[in-house]
Amino acid sequence: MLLKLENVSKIYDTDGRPSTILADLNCAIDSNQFVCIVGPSGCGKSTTLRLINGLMVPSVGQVVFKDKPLTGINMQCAMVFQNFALLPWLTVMQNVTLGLEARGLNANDATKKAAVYIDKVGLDGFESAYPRELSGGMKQRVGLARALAVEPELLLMDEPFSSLDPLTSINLREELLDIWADANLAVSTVIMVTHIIEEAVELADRVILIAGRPGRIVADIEVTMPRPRHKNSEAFTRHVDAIFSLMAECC
Amino acid sequence: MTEASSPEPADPSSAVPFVTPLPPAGLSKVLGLLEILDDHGGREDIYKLARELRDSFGELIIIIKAAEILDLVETPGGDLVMLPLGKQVIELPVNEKKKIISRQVAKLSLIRHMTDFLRAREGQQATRQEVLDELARTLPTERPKPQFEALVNWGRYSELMTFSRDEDVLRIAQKAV
Ligand SMILES: Nc1ncnc2c1ncn2[C@@H]1O[C@H](COP(=O)(O)OP(=O)(O)OP(=O)(O)O)[C@@H](O)[C@H]1O
Ligand SMILES: [Mg+2]
Repeated sequence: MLLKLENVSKIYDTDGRPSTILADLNCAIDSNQFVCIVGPSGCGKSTTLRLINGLMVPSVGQVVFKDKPLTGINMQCAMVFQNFALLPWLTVMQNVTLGLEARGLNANDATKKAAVYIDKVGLDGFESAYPRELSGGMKQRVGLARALAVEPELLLMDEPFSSLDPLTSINLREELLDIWADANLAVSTVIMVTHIIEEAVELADRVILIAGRPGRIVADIEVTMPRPRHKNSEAFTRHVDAIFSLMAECC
Repeated sequence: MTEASSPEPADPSSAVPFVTPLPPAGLSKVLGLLEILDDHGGREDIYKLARELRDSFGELIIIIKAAEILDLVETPGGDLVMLPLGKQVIELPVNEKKKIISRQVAKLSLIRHMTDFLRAREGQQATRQEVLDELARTLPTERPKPQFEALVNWGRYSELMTFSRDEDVLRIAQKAV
């Protein structure tokens, strides 16, 4: 088992009063899976990702990564963000090498490694461009290259496509599946947050639905359709409808 | 509309060559368009697509135009139809997609003219202003700025040109020499 959440709860302090955001999450995620977390706004999806990568500590319970309870940041994880989180004064290359140098690589090795992942995500030719010269799609490719470059086993993505226009988003989703399926890359497992159910059904092997206040795992659905998945197929619609009705029941 | 295959020699120095403007569309969107067209079985009414994408009709048309001059789709009678090359592109991994699109980009008359223009110059480079002037000369009816941006974007993507914002200089990419 790659990752386990064991009785995980998270309590935030809001205006001096404790409020439980996530309650009693239990789940186990295997390697080589593409998992989507879906749920209504504010149910604690981003908080769940932060607990998984160790940026935040559970108030109750524990996160177990490869049989070891997580203490501190999980270095085998990397995160891709909705708003790209690029540094505007750095070039594409510099944005990607930054994280590598932070992990102790010398500048030369960092550049070499960054070049490999810049190529993987189709950004060759843009190395010296600055973020503001790039389209949203190209910016998110930088975010992806930066995450992949640290060669994480687990890739976490927090609504990575939701600030992109529909066509760019379709293209990047397709390319993400290619990258995930590429056996030459370290990434074996992806956990992606989305609030778009169609997106989850298109990508995931498994969809975890979080809902309620506090947020709990209210459904855990396997999606076994072969890929590529066509949105207009009957099976696709059936999956989407099933998740929608679960969500309607729980929220 | 197979602009990509028309072989006309570009003469950067004197006579105004015949070049077609670049549609100011990002190539990620062109690739996305191919995916969605494939979901529709390779043929769909353009108006229907525009509605489905809730995209301003104007922008979709520019993206379609871009896919068309790259010989990835055609547009008979208001429909968008996948061409074999488009179908091939969507079935390839990220890197291979980029190779084919780059090859198509390299055939475009404006890209060819501007690479010839840069190659003929000392250091194979020109300042932004020089490039804007050349664009204004060769495409007198187009606004040069969007053409410049599309040129930089497509030039970078196809790895034919690099642009340094620090120096404000467009040059032939090392790999393309
Ligand atoms: N640092 C914090 N301190 C206090 N409360 C917080 C903090 N971060 C988030 N919250 C609250 O916790 C709840 C869950 O937040 P979280 O960002 O995890 O939700 P989400 O499911 O990702 O929402 P969205 O869909 O809007 O991105 C929200 O009610 C939010 O206001
Ligand atoms: Mg969130």
